[in-house]
Parts: sequence; structure tokens; C-alpha cells
Amino acid sequence: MFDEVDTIVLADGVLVDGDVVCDPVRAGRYPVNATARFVLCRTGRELGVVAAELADAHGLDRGQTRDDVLAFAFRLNRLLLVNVRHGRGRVRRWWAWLAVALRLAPVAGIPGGAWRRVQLDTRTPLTAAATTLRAVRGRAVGVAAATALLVAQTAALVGAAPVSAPLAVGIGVGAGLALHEAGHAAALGGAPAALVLAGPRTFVVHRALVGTRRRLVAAAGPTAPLVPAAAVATVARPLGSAVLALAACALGGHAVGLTVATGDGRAACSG
Amino acid sequence: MLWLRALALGAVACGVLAYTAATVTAIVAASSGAVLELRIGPVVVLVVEQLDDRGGAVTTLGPGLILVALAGGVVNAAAALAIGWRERRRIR
Repeated sequence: MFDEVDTIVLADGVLVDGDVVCDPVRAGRYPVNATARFVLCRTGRELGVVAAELADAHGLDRGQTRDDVLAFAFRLNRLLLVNVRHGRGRVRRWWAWLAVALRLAPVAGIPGGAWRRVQLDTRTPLTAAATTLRAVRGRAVGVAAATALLVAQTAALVGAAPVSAPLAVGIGVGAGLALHEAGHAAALGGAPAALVLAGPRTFVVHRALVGTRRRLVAAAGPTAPLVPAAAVATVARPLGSAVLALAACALGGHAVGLTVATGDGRAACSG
Repeated sequence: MLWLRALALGAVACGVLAYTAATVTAIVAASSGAVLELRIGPVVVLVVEQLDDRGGAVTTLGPGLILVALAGGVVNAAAALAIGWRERRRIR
């Protein structure tokens, strides 16, 4: 959901070169027309102001132009070419989202939020992993908290469980997410990459890879959490710690990503 | 080579999942005083025995976990071949 007080900024590395928008991370080139160029040359300014200028410049209806500019900004964001800086506070945005969600509820629609693209430093595997962990930490903490809450509610329904059990599962799930994406980034071998937070989805984007490198990058993501999973499980048994064992299970769940049941697994197994 | 990669990755995936699941099962069974014995034929996967005299329990993860991993690898390889066959058929 975009608002006329929001601004768009080109994602790191993306640039406008004449009639083309270039994305070096994905080696993509997107031709644009004069109207698109008008909007793209005014990034950093409120979308409502840009729309008003566009309408005045071409004698267009301001209301329709505003809607078109917002739709265009949404499209650019979905193409991962721009990030959005919201003009309203988080609480007001949540209320606005809720209002639209309630109106869409009869048709089971969910309003889409802005996606965010964060540049990664892939010069070495260590910097790639470090920048990925930094970029995904907020999402990992959120996922961990939500998982812990869900497990705690389930445990409360089925019977007694230690308070630490939901926490362990939550930490395992959150850490697994972070390690999974860091694994993908670390295996890229210097190829430009960015982390994308797209609604409930998190993924690393990069140019198309082929052959062994493609399989290696695909396998590295699910494999990264498995090493700590095995280590934690090995430590848990002599200690008799069910909490540690649950955390190991949560981390070990990423092993499914190595099978053909997932996109990573199919890419890793591909010929 | 597709089937070999799929076999190896499937075995690793199934092996880790089985290991972590067996570990948490063993610990929970041991702490709750249960006796557990999981085997594939004569091959031990997981055994939990209670020690009556001293208290506590002994947990054993056996080579059956390797069989579980291999089975997972075979299933993954078969699925990979099936997907590959279906893709080639679709392209034709």
C-alpha cells in the first residue's frame, strides 16, 4: 500500500541510463518511456508532489495521475528497482492497512505492503554472510517471536511444557532463517547480490547462475543451518536437554530445502 | 548425475532430520521414564532403557539412522528423476 506522502528511492546499484533502468545485481535492463523517466528523475520527493507536477506539465486530471503514479511506484517496487520511504508513522500505516484489509476481506484479498531490497557486500564469503545477517536480523527476530508465541499457545492447549521450550523453538526458527540466507550469499563467490524482504518471504537476488555455481549457491542456503543443528543435537543428548534438542530440530528443519520438495533443492539437484 | 546428486542431498537431509528427531525423542522418553525401542528389522534406530537401580536412562542412536537417511536419499532421487522426466515430456 503506497501513499502520496511516501517517497521512492532507487535501490542500491540501480541507475537510470537514458531510456533504460539498469539493475547490475540481476544484470537486468528495463526500457522506460518519457513519463516513467519523469517520475524516476524525481525520486526522493513525495509521490503526491510528483504526480501533481506531472499532471500540471501535461494538463492531466490530478486524481487519475496520482493513482497512476502510485501504481507505477508499486510496480517499480515489485520489480525490486526502488525502495519506499513512508511518509506516515508506523501506527497510522497499520491502521490504513487494516482498513483496506477489512474491505478486501470478503474477497479474501490482502493489501500488499512495500518490499525492501538491501544491498549485500559479497566480496568475500565472510562479508557476504555478515551483511546478510545484519540485513535480516529484524525479520529473524520477528519470526522467532511469532514462532515462540505460536508454540507457547499450542503447548498451553495440549498440556504442560517448560516455558523455555517455545523460546528454544523460536530461536531455532529465527536463527535458521538468518543462516539460510547468509549461506546463499556466502556461496555467491563475489557476484553482486541483494537481500529482499517481500512480505512474508525473504530471499537473496543475484544474476542468473549456471552449472556448478548455481547448484552450490542453491545448496548452501539449506545446508548452513544444518551444521549448528547437528552440533546442538550432539550437545543436547549428554546434557539431557530437551530444550536444546528442540532448538536443534527447528534448525534441522531446513534440511527439507535440500530435497526436490523445494525450489532450492530442485536447483541443487538439477543437471 | 542428477540422480546421484539427488540421492546424496536427500540422504543428508533425511539423515539430519532423523538425527535431530531421534535426539529429542530420546531425551523426552528418557526424562519421562519411558522405555522405547525403534528398529528396522534387526538394525537399531533408537533405544531408550531405564536404569532401575541408579535411576536415569541410557539412550542409544543406532546405525538404523543411516538406513533412514539412505531411504530418504532414494526417495529424493526417484522424485528428482520423475520431475526431470515430466519436464522433458512437457518440453516435447
